[in-house]
Amino acid sequence: VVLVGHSSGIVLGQVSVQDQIQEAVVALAEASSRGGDVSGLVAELNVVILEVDSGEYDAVEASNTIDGIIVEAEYLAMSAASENTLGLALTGINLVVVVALGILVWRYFPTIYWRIWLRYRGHWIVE
Amino acid sequence: MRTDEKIQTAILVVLAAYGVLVAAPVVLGDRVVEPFSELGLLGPEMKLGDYPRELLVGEGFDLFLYLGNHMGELSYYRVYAKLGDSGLNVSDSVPYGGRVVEEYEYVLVDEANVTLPISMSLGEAGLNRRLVFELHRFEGDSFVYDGIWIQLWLNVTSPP
Repeated sequence: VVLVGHSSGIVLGQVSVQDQIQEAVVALAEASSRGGDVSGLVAELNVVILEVDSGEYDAVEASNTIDGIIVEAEYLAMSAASENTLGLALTGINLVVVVALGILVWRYFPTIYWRIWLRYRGHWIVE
Repeated sequence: MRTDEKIQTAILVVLAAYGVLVAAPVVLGDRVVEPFSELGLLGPEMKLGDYPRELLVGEGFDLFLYLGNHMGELSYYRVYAKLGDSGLNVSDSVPYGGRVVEEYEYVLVDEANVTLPISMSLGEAGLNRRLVFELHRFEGDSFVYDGIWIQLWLNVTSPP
């Protein structure tokens, strides 16, 4: 615990909590960049930040809350990464199917079309 | 063009369009063309205007700070309120040289904004005092001046 000057007065534990806030921000940014929804955790962190800014906070409680946010953000980052991998795989499969369909249509569509045409109109007589 | 060729072309066009729609988000990602942040100052009625102009030393006044994040990523902002006079410069690249009287911090996800109520009082008298609000953004391991600032001109007098 360190005593440091703050604009609104002397605040206890500012340095350690400030470092933790920065660590939480880095973890949240990582989770967010991987597509995780971090809005709830950010709201939670902002409550701590505003309390710290006001100088009226319990350093231990704030530290525990931030620790919880960091853990959840890291979990969210991992889940989001797995979802991203799955999403990429599905996109890849989608594209392969589309390309395969394109080749099939390009190669065989006229044949299929005329076979169907002959089946239904082959008995027509031109007069 | 024969009928079968027309239908074949139409199917291929539809498939190509679908392929582009599926691949575009992966190729382009969530790229932001022109990332920017917003800083605004609202008066005590939460409107642009009615800003304090004449104050007594130690007299409290209320304002609202507006922050907006369009950086394409989560941003951790710090706003410094600095007090000085016209002799000190501030620009988009050089932060104001005045004394820091308050600082405010907030984290915003991309495309989010917030309006924060703030209460201040100034402890020193002076005419044409310049109260500058500067936006700094956390990058890497420290806060970096974002080049955005706004100011209030104040006459602060000692109580009679």
